[in-house]
Amino acid sequence: MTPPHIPVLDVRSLHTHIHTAGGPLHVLHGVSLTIDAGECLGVVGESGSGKSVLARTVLGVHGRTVRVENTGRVLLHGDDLLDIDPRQRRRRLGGGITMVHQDPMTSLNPVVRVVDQVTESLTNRTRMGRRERLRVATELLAAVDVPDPERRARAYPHELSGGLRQRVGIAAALAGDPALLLADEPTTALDVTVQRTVLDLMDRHRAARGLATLLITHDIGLLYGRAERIAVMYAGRIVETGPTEAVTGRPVHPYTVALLRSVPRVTGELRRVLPTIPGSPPDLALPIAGCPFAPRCERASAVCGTAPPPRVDVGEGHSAHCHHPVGRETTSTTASVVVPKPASAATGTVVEEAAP
Amino acid sequence: MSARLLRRASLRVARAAAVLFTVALGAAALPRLMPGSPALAALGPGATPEQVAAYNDRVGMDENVLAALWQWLTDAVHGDLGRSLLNDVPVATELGDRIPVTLELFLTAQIVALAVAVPVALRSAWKPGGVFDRVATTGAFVVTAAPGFVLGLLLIYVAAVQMRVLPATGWVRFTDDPVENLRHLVLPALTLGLTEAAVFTRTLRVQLMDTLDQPYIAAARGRGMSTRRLLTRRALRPSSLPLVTLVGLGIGTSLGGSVLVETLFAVPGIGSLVATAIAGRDFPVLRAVIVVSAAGVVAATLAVDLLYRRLDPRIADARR
Repeated sequence: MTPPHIPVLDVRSLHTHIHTAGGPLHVLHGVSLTIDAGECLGVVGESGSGKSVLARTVLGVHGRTVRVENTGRVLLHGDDLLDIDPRQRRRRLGGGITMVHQDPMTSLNPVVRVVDQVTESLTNRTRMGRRERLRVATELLAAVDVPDPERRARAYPHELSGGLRQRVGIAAALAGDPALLLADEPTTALDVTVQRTVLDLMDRHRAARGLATLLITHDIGLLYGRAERIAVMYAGRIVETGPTEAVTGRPVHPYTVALLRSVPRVTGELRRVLPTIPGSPPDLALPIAGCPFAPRCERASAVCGTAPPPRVDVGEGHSAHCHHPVGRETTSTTASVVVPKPASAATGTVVEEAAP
Repeated sequence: MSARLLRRASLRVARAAAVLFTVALGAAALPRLMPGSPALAALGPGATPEQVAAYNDRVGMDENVLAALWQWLTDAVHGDLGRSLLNDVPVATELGDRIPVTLELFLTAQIVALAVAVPVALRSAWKPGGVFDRVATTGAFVVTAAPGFVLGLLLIYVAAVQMRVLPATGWVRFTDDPVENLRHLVLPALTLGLTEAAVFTRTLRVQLMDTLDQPYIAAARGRGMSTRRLLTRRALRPSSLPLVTLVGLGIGTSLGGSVLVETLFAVPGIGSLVATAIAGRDFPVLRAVIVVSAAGVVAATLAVDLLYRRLDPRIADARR
């Protein structure tokens, strides 16, 4: 018998409450996911869906004034991060887990030279001389395609362009030779022209180092051909997950369908109204009895407002939580009549698309 | 590059000279600005016209202001700042005796203030609203709100009267007896330093809270940086600019002395000199003190500016 397979990251029914002045917010509702070495899991959702909180909870770094309560398990190589003492946990940061942040303009310290920030993961654990730091930083910057790396290492962040700064951010994340990389919208703040090269760079290192990657984005189109699997988040829940082709090609959850509809396409009509999803995500301070997406869902029926949606498994690791899964209307036994809500198309945006 | 640097440097020197000239002009006009006759006020109502004329000559009331200023400036360049009207001691000698005393007191006070304010502000800002923060903020508020001499009197009562470990007042020169000098330094330096520490703490705490909310601090934490290292190596420097201004100006204005503290502890510095000079309308002394302390502020401002560039590389680049 082969030894049991242990994924790099294994999150099991993670519930996260964030305590604010206005009372506790139930931000994550039983999130479960796994990522293997060298694999990229794309987490997609609107702002407020809890995807950033998920990354920060896995990393274990929240705002210093925020009080957070977690239940469930976050296993890194089988060790429960929620269950070890803070010092042990900190030792895994930089080394075991690292994060690439959203905005390279604000996630680099303006008064600390690039060399000292890039080598932080190492210098937090061992002492390093000046020359050694410069040597390591130069190597790391060269590995993320920063031209003239030795000069850039001595520079301050404000002397670099946005694309270079995000490369510095990636170099800093790779410095400790991590097993898991959390990338929280790593290209949102960048010019469209450099987004792709930065993502390709991350892919290259993922393949070369066998990095498990959690790629968070609000742009599902970004994940084609990059992420092996996708998890769609809504209101702190993973509503659909599966292999990328399955989720994007044969989506089961109406929310996923709506997300995919709102992606601009290169083919098709030149001028069309890009559909948006009417309404906004639910208030996390209020309890949700049924399906959180019900108020915005075209397929919602009475049962959606009262009972939590069942898990619908469509094979190949592709599953969703829905009362009325798309293309599988018969699997739901509780409701036979699907009541479509009146579509409010007035909220659409006109997008001019380039002809091929 | 170097031509531009030279131009910038000379511009600065010119600006500093203009400031000093204006202050010196104001100081020269001082006796004229006093209501009534300063001569009669100083000499008493029974003064003879000859005495009044002699007095006016010494204070420079006869000439016009600019001529008086010119005279004073040329003398000052030669090291002659005039003589005190009260005891006929050369003002330059008086200042030479007293400036080191005041500087020693103020530098020690700044060190005390920083030694208290920096750790307190770091700890306070890390957990705002926590027990430590609330105690520290309240303490700083009380110290700021109470007049400076209250703290001084309290220290005298505790250390000199109750515990009898330190002298309440007086001064011994460092060159005469270093140990006694330090013993006499403690209470006035604490009084000045703790009052300053309250202001420093509040300023630094606000700035730190802003810095600690920055994404780059979260990023450094995410790379496994310990809280202590994070605060001292990553958060302190970007938060220190307003504090540097305060410290710089504190040292700059120190040449004017602290009338309150020096009088309370009988420290023979500039402050107590100013106190007697004002009471006795000793214009030559006042004039010299005004110009010297203005020079101190100008020099401190320049030093703060240079330090800013070292602390935040963006400032140096923005002005290039």
